Amino acid sequence: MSMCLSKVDDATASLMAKALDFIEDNLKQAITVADMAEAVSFSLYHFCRTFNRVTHHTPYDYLMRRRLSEAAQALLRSERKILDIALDHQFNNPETFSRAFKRMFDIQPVQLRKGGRINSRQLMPRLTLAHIQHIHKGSYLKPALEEKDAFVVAGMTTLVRDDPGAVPDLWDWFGRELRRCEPIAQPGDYYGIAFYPDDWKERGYLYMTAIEMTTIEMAAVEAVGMDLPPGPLVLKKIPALKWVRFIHKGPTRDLSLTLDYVYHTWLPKSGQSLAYPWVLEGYGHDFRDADSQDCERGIYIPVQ
Amino acid sequence: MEPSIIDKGQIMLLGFSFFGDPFRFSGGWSEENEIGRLWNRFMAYYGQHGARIKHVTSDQAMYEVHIQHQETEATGEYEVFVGLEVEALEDVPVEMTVKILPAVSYAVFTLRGEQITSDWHKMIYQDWMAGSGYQSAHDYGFQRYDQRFKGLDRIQDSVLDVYVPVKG
Repeated sequence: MSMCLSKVDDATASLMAKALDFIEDNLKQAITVADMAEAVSFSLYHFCRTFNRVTHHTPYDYLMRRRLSEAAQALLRSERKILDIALDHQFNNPETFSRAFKRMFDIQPVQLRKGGRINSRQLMPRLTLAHIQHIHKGSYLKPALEEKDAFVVAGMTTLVRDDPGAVPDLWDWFGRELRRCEPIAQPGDYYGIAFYPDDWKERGYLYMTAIEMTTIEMAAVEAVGMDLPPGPLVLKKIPALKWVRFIHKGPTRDLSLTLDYVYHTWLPKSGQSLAYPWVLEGYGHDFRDADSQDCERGIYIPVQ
Repeated sequence: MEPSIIDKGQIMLLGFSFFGDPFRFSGGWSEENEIGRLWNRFMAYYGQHGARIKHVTSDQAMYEVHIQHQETEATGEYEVFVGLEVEALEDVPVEMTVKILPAVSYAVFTLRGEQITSDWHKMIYQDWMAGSGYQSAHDYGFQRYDQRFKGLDRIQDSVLDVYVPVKG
């Protein structure tokens, strides 16, 4: 399908945000797409076209994904019976619920209840006006396929939970550690690499600040020893992979807007699947000012 | 307690690392700090995918490396690396990271029983080092767990070696 990332005017954006709010308020009510159109005084035909152009979801697809995501959380967090959870979310028979659930999460509700797992990344988040504005900033979110050879990075890793300062703090430490080192021979680009375990929403994800070692293969490191001092840096080899690259334009705090788009809007329709639950942020060699509205960085996800 | 002084070549480790304040959310010897979590993560991986870790040295010793210097000491942050020693860096599983420690002399302290949970850090760095004629050679040290370590629940029967890089 074509992903038109054209400009959307402010009035249209705020009307679609209003429709998103209407959907959110009625996840447990028997609403139709016609009700959504009426909530913003559009004809059904015009509403479907506009909603799709603005959010890149059809209204029904978005409604189903939100309902199933809420149902999945209810399955995990409450003791309520599966049938009741299905009914709460307007699935009037268990087979339909089970089928739709399996299509979205690749696991049956009953398996999830019995200790199965879904990665929190699979849950469709609530979209907002900020998401709409973000995906219409320009053609930054147009995907590009890139094949990369294996490469070795040196870096530092931390576990990120609720603390929004953890990642910027680690970059500060990493910068200081690199200044303490002897200069690295021919340093390459900077990367931020996030590794998401299944339960990252509850227990956190791993984040590595890293610099590419352009000349060094793992075997060569072993042969020559490290030209890094015995500080906190560790080495990691990123294997040869196919990556899909998007551009994130904006400050670090808005990264989740790009990731929501990549995982929940682009990925389900792309026909691709994730090779690993990783996100690589590419910062080039001279990245400055991650908090500015204009800064750009590459966001890479590995696909099979 | 007198250490033995040994020379050791470069050490190559495969494992997982954490940088930050491991006690930010908790404290003490419980497993509910980031060091305990790091061990849990490592042991879970080792239990499930141990066969993917190639070229492990014969005694399969496990290392817990702490790296701390003046700047990090000021804020209580440090790096912890938990892993296995290997003889080659080929076939590193994608989930793991590599840590390389330089060839250097070490003062090796052999802790037995309750010494393991005592404040040996103070004993080594403040009491022993001051009168020893040695200085710290690098900003790290490690604990090396081999067959003689039986687990935290059998601390009385356990032996643990602590390695501190030194120069004369």
